[in-house]
Amino acid sequence: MSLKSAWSSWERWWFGPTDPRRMALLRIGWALLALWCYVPMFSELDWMLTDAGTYSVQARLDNWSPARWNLYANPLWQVGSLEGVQLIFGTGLLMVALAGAGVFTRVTFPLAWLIILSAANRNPVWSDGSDAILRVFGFYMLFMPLGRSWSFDAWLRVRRGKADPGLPSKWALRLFQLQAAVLYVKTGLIKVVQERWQSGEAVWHALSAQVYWRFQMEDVLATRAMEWFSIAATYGTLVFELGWPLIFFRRLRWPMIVGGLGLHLGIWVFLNLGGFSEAILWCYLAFVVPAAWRVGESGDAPER
Amino acid sequence: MPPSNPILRGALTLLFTLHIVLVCAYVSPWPEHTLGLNELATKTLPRVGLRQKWNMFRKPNKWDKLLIHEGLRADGSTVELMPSNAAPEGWFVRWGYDRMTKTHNIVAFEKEPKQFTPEYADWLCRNAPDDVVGVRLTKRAVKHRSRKQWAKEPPPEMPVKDTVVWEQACP
Repeated sequence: MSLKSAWSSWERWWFGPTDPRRMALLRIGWALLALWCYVPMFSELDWMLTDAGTYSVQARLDNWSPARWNLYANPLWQVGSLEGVQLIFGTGLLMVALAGAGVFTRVTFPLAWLIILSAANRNPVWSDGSDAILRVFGFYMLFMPLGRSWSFDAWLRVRRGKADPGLPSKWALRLFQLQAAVLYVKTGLIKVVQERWQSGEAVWHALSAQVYWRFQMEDVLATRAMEWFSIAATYGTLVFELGWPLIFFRRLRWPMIVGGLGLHLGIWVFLNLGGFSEAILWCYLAFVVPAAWRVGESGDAPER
Repeated sequence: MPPSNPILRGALTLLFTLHIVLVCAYVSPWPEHTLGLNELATKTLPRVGLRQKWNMFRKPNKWDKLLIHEGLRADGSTVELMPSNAAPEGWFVRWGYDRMTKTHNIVAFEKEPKQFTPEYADWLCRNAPDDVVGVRLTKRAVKHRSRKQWAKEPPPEMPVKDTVVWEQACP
């Protein structure tokens, strides 16, 4: 392969066209996840985000030196009362719902993302892995044409007789996918050097954490099968996480997706970690390309 | 749409690559070996909402760490201000996620100087019954049972270690 054709492939990998339904799928999934994670918070805003709660604005400022723009841009720094916080948070949820339906997506999605970011910055103490996934992967979605398909925006465009803007470029989707790979490889690397993972007992102790038990686990943990399962799951998790970049190879994509489903649904069944399992599985949608969606991508060649 | 100018397109691909390299340096378990990129990433990425760790299940504890919230009365007796997240007796299923769990973890594990715990204790004081004059937070560590220990009837009691992490008078 000549240098020129290698460079051309590299550019095509970043900028090749893709089906806008892939981005619409991510948008709808993001919105459903955000509603799943944040609607239950509405009744707990008093202790999470108000001045009368567990972390006042003043204490937060004393302990952290946020960038000046953060102070001005984050509406939750300006408001300490429950009514004010409810108004801002409720507006955020409304933006999430509108973004999910693809209503003026160019405006509603960034606003929804900004309010989620603001809540996590105002008081990061209750924020967990699902919040981080929505926030970090939502950043890359800011650069995607999320409303191009399956949206009110698309319906409006057709109704107004506007021309189809054509297939979008993949570059933001690529960044999203690479970020997912960074997540898995990082978590695999920090585990593989830990004695508890090397000895095969890590999953046993994760499953023994009663704080996170989905259901009463006493009888389950007493079975011999569970002992063997946790050893196999410990080493299987390491192999899976460190090998996760294999998902970029088309032939290995579905085995990796199925492996991810097994890992995260397994965690979901046994442990209640908030929306983490759902959130991480949502990231896999960035790799799902039904055959019908490949038509038109990169000319006649199927997408890689 | 991507730019039609090939030089600009090339520059953009390099910019994207640099971004991902920065993300790798930011989350690297060995920041001292990132040629200073970790410092650059730490200054820049959180400012655009890309603060991230991905440390889940890094080192599962061999002990459960529960936070016990005690309200102290003037006569020396105590009252439980909030249940810990210990598993309840008997059959149960947890559907919803209590975000207070994460808060308990932070308080139980917060190192000196404690930034969050004093505010948390103040909040407990404000919401405590009128006769409570102080608050005590205790980290209760309960060792996990092995499979063989679970299989015994009844399962043996496991070692418990209590450590007071914070105590204060309520104003």
